[in-house]
Amino acid sequence: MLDIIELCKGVLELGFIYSLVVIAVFLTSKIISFDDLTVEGSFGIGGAVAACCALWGFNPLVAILFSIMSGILAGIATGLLARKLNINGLISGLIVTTALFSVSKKVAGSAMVTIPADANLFNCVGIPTHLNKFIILASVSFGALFFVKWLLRTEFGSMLKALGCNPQLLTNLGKNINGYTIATLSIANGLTACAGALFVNYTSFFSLTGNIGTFIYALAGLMFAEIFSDKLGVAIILGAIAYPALYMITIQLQLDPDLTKLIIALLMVTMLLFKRKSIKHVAMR
Amino acid sequence: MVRVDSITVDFDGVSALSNISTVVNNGDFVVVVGPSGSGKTTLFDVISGTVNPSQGSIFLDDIDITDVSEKKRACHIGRLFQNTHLSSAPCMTVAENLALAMCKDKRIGVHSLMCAYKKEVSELINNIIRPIIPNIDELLDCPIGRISGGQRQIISFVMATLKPPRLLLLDEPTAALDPQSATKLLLFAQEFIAKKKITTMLITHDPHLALSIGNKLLVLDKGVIKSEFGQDKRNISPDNLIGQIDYQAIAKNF
Repeated sequence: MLDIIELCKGVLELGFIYSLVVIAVFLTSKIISFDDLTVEGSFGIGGAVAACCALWGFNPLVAILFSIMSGILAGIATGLLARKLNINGLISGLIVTTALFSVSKKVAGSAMVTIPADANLFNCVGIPTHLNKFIILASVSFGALFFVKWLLRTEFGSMLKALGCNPQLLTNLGKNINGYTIATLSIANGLTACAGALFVNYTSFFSLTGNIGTFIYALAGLMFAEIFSDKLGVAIILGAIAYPALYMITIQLQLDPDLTKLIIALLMVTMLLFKRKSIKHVAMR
Repeated sequence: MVRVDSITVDFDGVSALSNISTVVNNGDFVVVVGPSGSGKTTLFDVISGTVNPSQGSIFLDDIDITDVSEKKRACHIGRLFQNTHLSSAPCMTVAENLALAMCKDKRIGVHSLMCAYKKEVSELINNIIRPIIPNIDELLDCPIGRISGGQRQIISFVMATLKPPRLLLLDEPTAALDPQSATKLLLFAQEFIAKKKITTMLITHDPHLALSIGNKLLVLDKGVIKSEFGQDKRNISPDNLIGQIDYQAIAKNF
């Protein structure tokens, strides 16, 4: 029974970390209609910067701030490629992600880095150890959610929504489309890099390939979130939790580990079909 | 005053406008007619800054704006498109769209957009929109993309003229509307433009409309100004104008 509780706690904690990436993808893909693959690279660079700072003995909170800054820079790079050099948005994200792979290795110094226990964020906060991870990650996750919700209610956020559905309107209003796009990409990648830094602190380990699949995870999380609600809210966090929850189910069922990804794919299809069925049901009423 | 001075536009060797020159004085209402492909929308694109001319200059109140960006020109030039979705944000509500238009020359910083402009939106609705759209209250929370084309175009017109522009470009605003909605929009727009004395250019394919409104008529054909009429346009009959436009020659090509 205790094992199950611990397992559920782990699933929730991972979900909280990845919810930042899901929020980032929500901002770029859903709000400004820019499919940004940079999240894959900024998750890695965030982790690499956190690992590097930990090795240099920086305060973990300062390390997280540096990680966020690295993500913001990655977002700006993608934005400049896409808007100033007119390179396709998807390609711009791929280019920056490819570059960040090398940058991450240089920053971390090695493809695998272990974080010293005394430099770990979760050991430096005055909360009982068995609770601190959960409390910190839940606070960051809900904090990011409320920040983005507030942001979208402001003039800036309204311009982002308008940019997503009709960029011409922003031009008509005399606003700078490039500026709003680059600002959104920096916020999204800053959040993603923060998630990368939290992940490295959570696992006490940085791996150069640890970021692979981040974008797919976030997209899956976003799709799961839409099962609960189309709007930005707690559904985003639930969506981010759904993916590791599926992992947990496959582990609990003691299925062949080689089949894990296939079973997750089937479970995803089932959930999406359930969503479509429930939408039809609502429409028929 | 807007002065279009010897404007030429080439798209990959194909000439869209050839050496066009015209003057629109303050308070003028110029109607632009011509067959499809005659360069009407390209002329508007050049004036609003969407397209850069290959040659020539554009002056707004004697200031050369040829190299001024579309974004900066938008502060002085309002534009309403034929496609009703281009002048508003279809995924946002009617109220949000109206509040967005209020941000054109103001900054509200970190405050909620809807809270900041609640009073202004309410005044705008009571004074201008409700007389023309009586059920506006029911529509305020609907995404603007889901209301009827006529209502959407009226709201887009209000958005474009919220801060009266120095030049208003109406690019076939009634083309996608049914006759009833088109008449409603035109009556409203005409009254509003006359009241605020906004310098306006209107593109239309309707010869009756072209002759019934405005004080100047510009007939474009194959990228050149075929003829230009002032007050003497009253002497032209719709059939005469159709002859000027040479729709038959166009029809033969199809």
